[in-house]
Amino acid sequence: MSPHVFWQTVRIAYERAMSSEGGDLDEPIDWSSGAQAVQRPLSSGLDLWLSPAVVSDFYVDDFDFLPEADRSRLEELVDKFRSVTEKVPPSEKTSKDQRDEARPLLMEIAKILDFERYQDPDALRLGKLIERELARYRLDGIARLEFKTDFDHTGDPGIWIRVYLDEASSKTDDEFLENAREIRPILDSVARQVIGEDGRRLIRAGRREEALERWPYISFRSIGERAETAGAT
Amino acid sequence: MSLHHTLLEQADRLAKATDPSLEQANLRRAVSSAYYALFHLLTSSASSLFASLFAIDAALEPRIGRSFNHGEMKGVSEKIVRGEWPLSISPKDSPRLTPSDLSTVATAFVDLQVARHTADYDLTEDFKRKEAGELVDQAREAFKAWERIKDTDDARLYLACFLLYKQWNKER
Repeated sequence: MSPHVFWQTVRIAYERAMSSEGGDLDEPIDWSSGAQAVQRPLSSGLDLWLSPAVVSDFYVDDFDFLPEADRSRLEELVDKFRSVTEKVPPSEKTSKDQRDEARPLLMEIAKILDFERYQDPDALRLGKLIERELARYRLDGIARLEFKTDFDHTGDPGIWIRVYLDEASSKTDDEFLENAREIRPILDSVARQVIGEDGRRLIRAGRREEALERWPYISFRSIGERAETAGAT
Repeated sequence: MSLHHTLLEQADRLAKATDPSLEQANLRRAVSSAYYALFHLLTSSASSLFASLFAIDAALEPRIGRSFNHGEMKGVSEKIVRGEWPLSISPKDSPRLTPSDLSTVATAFVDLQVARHTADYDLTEDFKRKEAGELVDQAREAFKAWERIKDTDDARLYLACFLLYKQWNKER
């Protein structure tokens, strides 16, 4: 299986749940990506994210790249979310108690998937694997990594990795560049190794079409620059 | 001073420019200039190689330089970084290895071409000053690596591959 559908439905539901805090939703949700989705009637006053369809495509084996503790917790949260939402009649208005019970579960699922740092399902898998491998190098100065996958302007597949260096490592431009020079070749090498191994694993699993030889595009910012961006938005 | 060195110097100055009203334009041009600095370093080296190989008048080198294609150079660079040299110069039973300095140059070429495309055409996200400075630094490190390796067979073969990769990669 592939975690893509689960990831997409959780993301949609998460955004709906966030935007519906304190109110109800009128706009329809397209559950077409979720197989066997339970459709709520698209009428006003229904919390469309409060549905077992959100997690119907979850298979714990799809998340074998997560640390054991995160994987177990994710499975537990999905089971609880399913159990809570299955009790909600599909065509009736949801109660505050139901929403209050389900929302924290969905929020914690979203926290494990961390949409801000891993912007798509492939970025989540490769990003987690890269971070795990990179940890062996015990590099100083990395405050945060962000990942997204896409195709570049020539149509070749890539993974964009943004490295945020901590304050201590980016006090001056020279210090920033010195640290980036040390980290770039190691991260590049680790990313290529992980991408290669992941591709071979996907081919062995009969998922050759997903085994893309992604080029790692690495960029560096200081964590202070991230705060500026967050402040601006 | 050569065009490629002038472009690298321009990229450096633009990345360090402090006028806030011009910041985004300067940073985007810095990234673009850093790419073109490396592009012109490699195409001028390749033009010189072909001119000397065929005893062509040096005055015609710029014409040779116009034969190189950004996309094909990127494709070749990706392959060389991955150790995928053309079959005729890297048989399967005795594969050619890519030296670290050449890998630094070829990686920077691919990275900077994509960054340049983002800088020139993608307005969805702003560049940051340190981020642009680091990309210029990647070009600078590629220049240093090229200086160390430019007189080797590996470097000359890399340049030749910009025009000959497909022909050299045909199975005999």
